[in-house]
Amino acid sequence: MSDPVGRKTMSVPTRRWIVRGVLAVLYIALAISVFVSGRGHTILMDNKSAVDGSYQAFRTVKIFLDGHEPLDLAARERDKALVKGQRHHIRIETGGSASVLEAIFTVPLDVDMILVSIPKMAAGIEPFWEPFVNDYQRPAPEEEVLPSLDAPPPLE
Amino acid sequence: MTKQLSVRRFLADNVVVIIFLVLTAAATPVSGLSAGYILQEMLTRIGRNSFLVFSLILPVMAGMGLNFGMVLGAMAGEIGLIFAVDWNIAGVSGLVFANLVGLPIAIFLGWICGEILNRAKGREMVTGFILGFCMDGIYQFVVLYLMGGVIPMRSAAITLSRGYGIRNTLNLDSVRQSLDNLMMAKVFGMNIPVGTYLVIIALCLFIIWFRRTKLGQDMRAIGQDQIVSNASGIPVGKTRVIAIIISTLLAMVGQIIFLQNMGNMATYNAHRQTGFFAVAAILVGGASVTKATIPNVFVGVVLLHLMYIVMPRAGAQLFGSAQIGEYFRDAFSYGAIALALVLHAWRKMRGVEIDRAGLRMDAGEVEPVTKEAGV
Repeated sequence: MSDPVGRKTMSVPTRRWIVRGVLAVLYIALAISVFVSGRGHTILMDNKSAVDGSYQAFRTVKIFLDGHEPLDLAARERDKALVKGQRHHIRIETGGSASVLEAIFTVPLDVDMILVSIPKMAAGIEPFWEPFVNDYQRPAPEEEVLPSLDAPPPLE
Repeated sequence: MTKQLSVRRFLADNVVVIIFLVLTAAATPVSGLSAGYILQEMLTRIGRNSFLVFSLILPVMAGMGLNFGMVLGAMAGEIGLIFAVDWNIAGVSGLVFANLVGLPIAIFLGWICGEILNRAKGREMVTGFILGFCMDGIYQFVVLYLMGGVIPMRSAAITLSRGYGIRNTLNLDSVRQSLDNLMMAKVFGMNIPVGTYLVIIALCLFIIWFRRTKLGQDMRAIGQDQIVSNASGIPVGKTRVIAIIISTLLAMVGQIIFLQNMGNMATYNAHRQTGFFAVAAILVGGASVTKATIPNVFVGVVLLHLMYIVMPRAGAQLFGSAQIGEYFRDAFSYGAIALALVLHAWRKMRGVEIDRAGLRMDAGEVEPVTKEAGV
């Protein structure tokens, strides 16, 4: 097809399909980027000594994870933080000696929860984190309230 | 005489608003609630509910009445949230993800709804109402049987113990109030969810802009007279379907905003009252089946929720039982819908009578002229 000047132009249906295709690609790209950047993970931070004595827990340690409020952990304590995305920055402040005071680690997309060992990180042992599987126990069928259509929610 | 008539007309046009104003004005001091508490509740509820009510404006503009089929959009939003929770997409990203998942579902359901309503012209409201029940059944089937079975779900915490089907109540912790807390301002001790308000303002601007577009003008023309619009080349059926699709989409977004504020979701029931609530709010705000504006939405949400806040407490103070206040508020909400529909029918009949009287007068004037001409 050509315009009055004689230049070749695309037909309207072709142009429409191209626009639709571009929109579909943008939609999928946006969904993927939101999925990846918004994926939440639970980070468990652990301040415990190794069983074989290869690294020792700190008496007290202050942990800064990304932009979260700092966490104070005493020896043999554990705490958790909820984070978004895969790449995270951790920094520790400790009274004792530590060879590594900050580190960057990447959580795999399909892992919900990881356990970060602070003494292991401070001792420079890699990897200092491991996936943590929370074995969720489903309630027994007889204990569970089954969906009911009889009780609509109250107006809010 | 003219002044008397205009007062009567004003009362007739705003009877629902006036009834609600009188009721809430009477119940507020009885409830004993402080002004600060009521104001804070109102600020939260305006942010939570306005978007849902806005979804009703475009179908009214296109002459399709109040879109009870908006529950289809609410269901799409809920499906989006189920997937966001299942994949643990947190914060505002979770809400965007829920919207992206719900978007194609809402468009598809809106298209089905629009096509069906085009085959039920003049009976759109009751058709939409029943369509909501029909789609509710399909939603129950998908969520109760297919999710976790045919549709894979990752999280064992949200599925029923039998391994398939979603739990009765879904905890929305990962997205709880994420939009509200995005830009929370504290003014005179009141928490104002600025982020949510900005989204609502953007929607208001969209509606104002949309009314001026070609499509918006077409919808208004169709709302005035479908036959004339059709004769003037406006694709009536297509435009009506677009109005319903946009309404369903807005209902989807509105339901997501509503549920993120609530923080949990009654998986099988949350959408069931959505249409009823939104319709009650816009009617209480002074809208009718044929005319709805942005101020109607805000006035309606404020009045209806003011009643929701004060009535249970007023009932407790007066009768010693908050339950009586709850009954009152439910009765008045349903009453508002009934009254608005009756008034609409009455006005329509009166309009027809006035038109007839006008025609008779015209005929009466023509006759003597003809006689004179005959002489």
